[in-house]
Amino acid sequence: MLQSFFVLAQLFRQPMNISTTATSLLWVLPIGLGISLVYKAIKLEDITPRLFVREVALLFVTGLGMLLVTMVILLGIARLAGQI
Amino acid sequence: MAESQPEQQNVKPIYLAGILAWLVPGAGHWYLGEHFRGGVICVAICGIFLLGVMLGGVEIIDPHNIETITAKAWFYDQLICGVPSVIGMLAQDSDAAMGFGRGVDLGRLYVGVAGLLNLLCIVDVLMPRLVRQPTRQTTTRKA
Repeated sequence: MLQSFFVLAQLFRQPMNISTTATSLLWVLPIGLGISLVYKAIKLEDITPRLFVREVALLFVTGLGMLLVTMVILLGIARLAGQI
Repeated sequence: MAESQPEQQNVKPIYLAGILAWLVPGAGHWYLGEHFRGGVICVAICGIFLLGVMLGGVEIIDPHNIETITAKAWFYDQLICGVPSVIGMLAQDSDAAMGFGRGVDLGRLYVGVAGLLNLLCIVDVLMPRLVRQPTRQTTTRKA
């Protein structure tokens, strides 16, 4: 029990080794979900679990969609700049 | 006169709710009787905070090296998380240096965002009319 606690504590001692590949961009998902949860938790006047889940999912997907659109635009600009 | 007495007894001091919201994310809402809201806020902010500390190591909450304005901003931002930040500060070695790399950058970002979200929750506890929006009419359907 105590040993497993120390093993768990070691997770918080050293920084994680995250590569600079495209897959590291997936780290935007947990923080996006967290922001959606907190934002909708304080924004909705009448909060019920069903409505809340729907609103959070909607905001999360919208935010993710906007990020994807931004990514495509930036990729297009980078391609154009590469051709010049 | 006698009817207003029970209402006055139920009024909770808003400043105490604000202090609780700062100390423990979600505790202010919980104190005001909004248990679902408080629970969600607590789980979400503590989750982001813990993930940030896991990504960057506990040394990202660094009270020693705050000479530059940027470092000061990050540190005070992290302090808005309240008790989790204090636990993080107490848990670190005094002689350990902060790591570096993408994990530290991401971890600092996560903990900073957790602090800013908690600031939003404190404002919501103190001034709910400023933040809330009425439930949209489209959510209720007629049979």
